[in-house]
Amino acid sequence: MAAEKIVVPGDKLPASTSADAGSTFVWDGALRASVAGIATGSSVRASRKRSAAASSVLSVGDTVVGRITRITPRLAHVDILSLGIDAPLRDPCAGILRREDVRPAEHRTAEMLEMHRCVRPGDVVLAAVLSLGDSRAYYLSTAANDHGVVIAKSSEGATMKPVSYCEMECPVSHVREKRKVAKPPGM
Amino acid sequence: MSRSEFLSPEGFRIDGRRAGEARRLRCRMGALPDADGSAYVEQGNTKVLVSVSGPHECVSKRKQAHDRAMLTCEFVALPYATGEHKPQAHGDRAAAELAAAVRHTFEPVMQLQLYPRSQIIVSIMLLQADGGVRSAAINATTLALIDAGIAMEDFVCACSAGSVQGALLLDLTAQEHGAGAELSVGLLPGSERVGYMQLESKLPLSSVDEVLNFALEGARQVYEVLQTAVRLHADEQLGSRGLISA
Repeated sequence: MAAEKIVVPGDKLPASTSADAGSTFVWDGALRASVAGIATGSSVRASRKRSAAASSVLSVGDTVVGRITRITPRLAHVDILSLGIDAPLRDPCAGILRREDVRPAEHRTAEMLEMHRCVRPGDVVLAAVLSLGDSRAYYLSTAANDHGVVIAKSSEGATMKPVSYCEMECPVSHVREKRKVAKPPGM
Repeated sequence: MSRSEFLSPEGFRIDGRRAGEARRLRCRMGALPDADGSAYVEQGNTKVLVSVSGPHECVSKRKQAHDRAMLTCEFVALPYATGEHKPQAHGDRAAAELAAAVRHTFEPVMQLQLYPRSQIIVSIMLLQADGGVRSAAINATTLALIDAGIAMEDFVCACSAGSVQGALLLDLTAQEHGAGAELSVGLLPGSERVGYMQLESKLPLSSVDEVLNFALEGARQVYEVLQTAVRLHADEQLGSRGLISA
C-alpha cells in the first residue's frame, strides 16, 4: 500500500498522524516515531510483536493468578503466575497475602481468619493487587467474592470442588476442607 | 618518525583503506531469537553481540524507580577477544567503565518514562576486539534496543577517528589506536546532537575540531548502514506477520 511506509526511531511522521497515536513523540515541532514499524496514515504500528504480559509490571487493582507456596499464621506467600487469566508472566514474581486481606471485613472472625482454613500451600488463587508492597513482594487481597481459591487438591490428591464460600469437597473421599473459595463464574 | 608507517605516500593505511574510509560494518538484528532484542555487529575484525532483556519486573526491587525504567548495562569481553587468551578479570574496571558509558549514552535517548517500575538490561559481549570497541558496542546496542521495540527518540551512531602520527584516520584499528589519539563520538543523527564523546589520550587542541568532524562524518555513514538494516529488518518482520504487502 502506497500510504504505508516503514519508519525508524526519529523519523518524522506525516502530518495526518494523530498526535496521541502510540509509539510517537514530538521533537523540534514535528511528530516522530519512537519505534521501528509502519506508519499507516494515522498511527505507527511497531514491527516488533510483544506479548502483552512480557513487558508488563503489575499495578494496583490488577487481577492476578498465583500459587500459594508457604503459609504462616499471619500471611501466605504467593508466586504470582499470571496477570489476569490469560497473560502468563515470564518470571513469576512474589506476592504476599496477609491474614487481614483474605476475607471481606464482615467475615473476619477469629476462626475464619486462621490462615490454614483459608488457603493451603499448592492452592491456586485468584487475587487482586492491593498495593505495590515492599521491596520484595506485592500485597494481594482475596476479599472480593470472586477472588479466592480456584484450584485446590485434597489430601487424596484429587482436585476438590467448591461447595460453599468456605468449603471445598474432595470427589474421592468426600472430605470437606476449609478454604476461602472464589465464587465460580456464573453462580 | 615519518607518517609513512600508518599512511603510505599513496594514501593507503596498513589494512589497505584510505584515511577517510571506515571498515566494513555488518550487522544483524535479532541474532538471538530468545532475547527480547539482540544485534550482532561486525566493524572490521571487531565483533560485538548485544542482547536486551526487558522491560520487565526489576530484578532488584530496591533500585526500581516508580516513574521510569531502570537501565542496566553489562559488558563482558570473552577471554580470547584480544588475541592472547586472557582469563576473565573479576571486577574489571575497564569493562565497568564501558558499561557505564553505554548506559549514560542511552539513558537520555530512550523513553524510559514509558516503562515505570521496570528494568531493561543490556548485555554487551565482545567476541573479538580490533579497535573501535566502544563504537561497535554503541551501534550494536542501538540496533538491539530497536529490535526489542523499546521506544527511543533517536539512533546513537558511533564512530571513531584519530590523529596517528600526524595522519587523520577514520575508524582506527587496534594497531592504529595504540600509536595515536583516538576520539570516539556517538551522534544522534535525527537531532544532530552528540550523545557521547570520549578522548582517551592527548590530542593538540588545534586538531580536535578536525578529528571531531572527521568522526562525525564517519558516524553519519554508520547511520546510513544502521537505518538500512533497521528498515530491512522491520520490513521482514512486518512481512512475516502479513502486515505489509511485499
